[in-house]
Amino acid sequence: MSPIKNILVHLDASPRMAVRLQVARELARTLEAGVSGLYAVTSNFVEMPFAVAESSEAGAIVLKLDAERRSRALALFEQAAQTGSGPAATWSELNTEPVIWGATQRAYYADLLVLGQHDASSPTARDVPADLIESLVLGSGKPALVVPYAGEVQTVGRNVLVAWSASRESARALSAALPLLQRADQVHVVTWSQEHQSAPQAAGERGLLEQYLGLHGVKATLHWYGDGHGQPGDRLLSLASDLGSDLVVMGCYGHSRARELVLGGATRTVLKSMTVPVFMAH
Amino acid sequence: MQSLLVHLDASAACAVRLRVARRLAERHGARVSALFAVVPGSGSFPVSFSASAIAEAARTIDVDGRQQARAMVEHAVALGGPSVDWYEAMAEPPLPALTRQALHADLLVLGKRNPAGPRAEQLPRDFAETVVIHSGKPALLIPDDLASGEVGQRIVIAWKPSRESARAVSAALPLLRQAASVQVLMWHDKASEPAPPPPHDIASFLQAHGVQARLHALGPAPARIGEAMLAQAQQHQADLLVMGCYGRSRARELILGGASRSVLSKLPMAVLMAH
Repeated sequence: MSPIKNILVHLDASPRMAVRLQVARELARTLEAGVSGLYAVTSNFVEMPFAVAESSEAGAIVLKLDAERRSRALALFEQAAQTGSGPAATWSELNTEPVIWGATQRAYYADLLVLGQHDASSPTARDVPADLIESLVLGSGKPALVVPYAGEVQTVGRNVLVAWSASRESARALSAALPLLQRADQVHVVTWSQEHQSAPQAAGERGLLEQYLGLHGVKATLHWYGDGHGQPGDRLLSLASDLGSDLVVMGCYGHSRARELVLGGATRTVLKSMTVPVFMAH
Repeated sequence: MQSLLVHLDASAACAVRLRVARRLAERHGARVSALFAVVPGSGSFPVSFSASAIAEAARTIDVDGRQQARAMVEHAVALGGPSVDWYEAMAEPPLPALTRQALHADLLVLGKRNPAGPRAEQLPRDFAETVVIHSGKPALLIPDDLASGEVGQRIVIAWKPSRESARAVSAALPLLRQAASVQVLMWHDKASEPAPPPPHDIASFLQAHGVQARLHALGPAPARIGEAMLAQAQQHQADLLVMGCYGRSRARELILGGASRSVLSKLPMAVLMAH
């Protein structure tokens, strides 16, 4: 029995939402899970440069904008529901602001989130907070599958690349991704040595990692990158492209400081430049 | 749940922990590892000894009790049941040693550091909680004097819509599925927070995972929530309490949430915690 029973997919009014929904449904089919869609966008009231009363004339226009956007999203959702494959998704929506708070509350009752990579150049970019992914992953503690904003997504999880470092975040991502790894054709694990680690320590940990994967029925090829040069995020993405990976599993590193989220370097790079789906946990 | 890690020190209570872990392993088809880790040199060495000299002495004259612990494990395994992979930390302090090993486990089985016990200096303060927070792995905390019998027949969940609570429940799912009864306790926060979104409740989450639970809405949270949880759990005759472990580290010191602290200081029953 897969420990992933309920997949929560984020819905908005962008055309890319259909791709996200299809990825979620395909995963649900593989994992024998259900899919709940959550329409969660920032109200146009929040985007206005000045305060607007709902009862004013301007307020009526803003309300109309919100309603039109919602109809567009619903139409996209219904169209995707008819054309795609996999178990049907349910539609629900947030009636609370702020979006991140409300979505986090919903995430507590899901096993996996399916979210979209933020596309700053998209006309709908301002519909969704730019830090939605990291806020949800850190705030809810749930793992998330992030779907890139461009390109076709043919398969997810046939050929998986796991980025491993001996850290809490990495360990979380690995254990949450096990149901996917168990179903993959190929699993590659890439590890980087830690600064303060001696060679026998590193070898011991590789042994533990192999044993852990073996206990969970995952056969993996381990790659050892030693102390190679370059930024880890970029190196990870280029390795994913070399290996033809259709999914990258990694820890989501970050912490909140004075109400602002500070992301780790590799996490930021990957969330910005990813072209394949990425599975993250904090 | 395939990989259980038990922490061992020189206390007699390790046998209790090991017994619980092996019983669980049997029921879930999991593998048990045991890691012996105590403060290096806590077995009364002159301060001038180097770390390597201490490690060497620990190996040869059992000054910190590791030989004894190992003999206990071998004795238990000889009586039957699942095998145990033995690991020991040498010169490394117990927190980093256990945290590192924990990254390769699905569930930790830990004891409660007894500050009044004979070997209290073997472990740092807030040992178990710190491991849970730093490793991110769920842990089962076992009271030293736990009577024989199963852990997890009657489970009480202290639920609150929070990351920690949600993690504890997800981690407990394999146990919840095998429990005879599952009760969910819910208190709500006093005001301040925005109104909760429409009910996507914990009962249907559990049901999707094949767990039938009874919900108990208990009104506004009392000031001493930890004690209220324990009282409720005892009323339901629970043998396992599932709860979030709230806390954060600041400047190398752990600041624990009030509920976690009061439950852990008493620990009258087994508790499954996650951060």
